[in-house]
Amino acid sequence: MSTTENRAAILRLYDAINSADQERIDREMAETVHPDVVLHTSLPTDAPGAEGMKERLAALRRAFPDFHLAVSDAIGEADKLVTRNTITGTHHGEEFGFAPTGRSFVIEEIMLYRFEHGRVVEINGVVDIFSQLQQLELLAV
Amino acid sequence: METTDRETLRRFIEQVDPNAKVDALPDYVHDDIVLPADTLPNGRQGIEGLREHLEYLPTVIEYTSTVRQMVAEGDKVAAHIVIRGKQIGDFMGIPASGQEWAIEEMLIAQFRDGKISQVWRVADLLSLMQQLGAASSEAVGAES
Repeated sequence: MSTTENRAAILRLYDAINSADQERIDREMAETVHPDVVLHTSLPTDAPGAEGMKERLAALRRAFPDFHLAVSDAIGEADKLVTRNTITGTHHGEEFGFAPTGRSFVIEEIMLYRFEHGRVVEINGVVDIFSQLQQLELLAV
Repeated sequence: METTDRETLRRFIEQVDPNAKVDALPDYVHDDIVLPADTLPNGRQGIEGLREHLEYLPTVIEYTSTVRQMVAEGDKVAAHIVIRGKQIGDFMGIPASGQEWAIEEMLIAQFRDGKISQVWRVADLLSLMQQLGAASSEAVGAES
């Protein structure tokens, strides 16, 4: 896989996530993400690997039905791809144990994907959950 | 050129930034560098904003930064960084605690003629607040 193919695969996955079409998400996840992917993304997941990632994505969609991810930058080298994303959503379902607030957020995340044999085997990333909780007025700091 | 930019960024992250070597800044960044809007202490832009940032941080935290991974393409270099530190002054509304902490940060630097012209970064501030005991982590950890 070239960096071009890695980039295209991640962009297809993001498109599927944005579509909220579960079949499409399952298809792109199966094609792009290894079942035993190692996640270091500061997000809580109930299960390890791709299953945990899918559950987290489903939970996000339930909490923020208009959840959208826009890629601002993509940097690829060898077996790695970094994307900087802007994420938006409106809080209409329970998230992190908080009842819906109806408030919206705009935050950034930067994700680093490592590929092996054409699939993502490791994801390191930082999502600005701090800012998200501040914007939803769920953090008393 | 990419190798040079990569090394420049690593030196900046590991040596210049944590040691507040403000006199070295003109060797690493352009005068009109664009910084993240939330750059402490007040989001000021340009090399002067970065100078203020590096002079402010040692008054509230001591820290070291280690680059774990770098990814470079074209005029951009991304870095995955681990920052380990200790809170020594009032920081983001939290009274000085002496508390030690470690967080991850992802940073992207854009280069022009061998110097940084723009920086984007996302640091795990929620984790930092939790480690400093300032954010109620129960709700966020509830799902894990």
